[in-house]
Amino acid sequence: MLGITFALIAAVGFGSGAVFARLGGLHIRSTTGTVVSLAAGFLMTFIVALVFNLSDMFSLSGVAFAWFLLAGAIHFPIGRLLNFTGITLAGVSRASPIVGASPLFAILLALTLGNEPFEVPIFIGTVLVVTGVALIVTQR
Amino acid sequence: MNLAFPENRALLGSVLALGAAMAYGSSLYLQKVVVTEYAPPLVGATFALLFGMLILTVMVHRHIPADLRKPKKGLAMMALAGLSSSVGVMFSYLSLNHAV
Repeated sequence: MLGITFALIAAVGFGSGAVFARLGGLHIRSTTGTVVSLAAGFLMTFIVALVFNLSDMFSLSGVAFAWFLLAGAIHFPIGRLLNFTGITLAGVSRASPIVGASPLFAILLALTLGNEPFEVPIFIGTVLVVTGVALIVTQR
Repeated sequence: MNLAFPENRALLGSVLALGAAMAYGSSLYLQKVVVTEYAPPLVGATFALLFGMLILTVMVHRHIPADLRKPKKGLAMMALAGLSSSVGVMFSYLSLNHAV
């Protein structure tokens, strides 16, 4: 239950971030805007992490940094830049639901690489996500 | 593709959004590995943000000085976007840490 609650809060954060990105994209290039957004976000996250996880910040292995680098490279330069640029071009109402299909790709990786079990509710949810994205993309 | 037409802009934006979905989905799986094996959620989110910011800054640094001289409203909105999205990133890592 706690995980679901956190996930819902995360969704609110991502959703409101998309709206602000749309408003910012009207005045500034999406590449620079993404850098600004990352800088602001890093500052906040760093301060919170220092408060709650100070000892963990300085006891990490080299392999951990490699994973951080990979996760950060895929999520931010690629993911957020494509997200903000897509929002600037297509608008929040069209782009954000498509970006919301990201769990679909996470499920694919989890099933193939993570060997997680496949369950009927996951299949139904996957079909609904794909259908929703298809409806949005084909909207005129 | 002529981006002067709204339909083409919407289509390109949709394609880019789909690319973002693929990237975010892949990073969700990586985040799960990070919080399971290597670091607490907030630490993982912090360093992922740091590396992402550094990489993107290197990629687009030529445009930044000129863009920073533009009206501050755009910068303020993007900063708010970053703060909101980072709340999303932090709680995303936290939710994965509590996931089965």
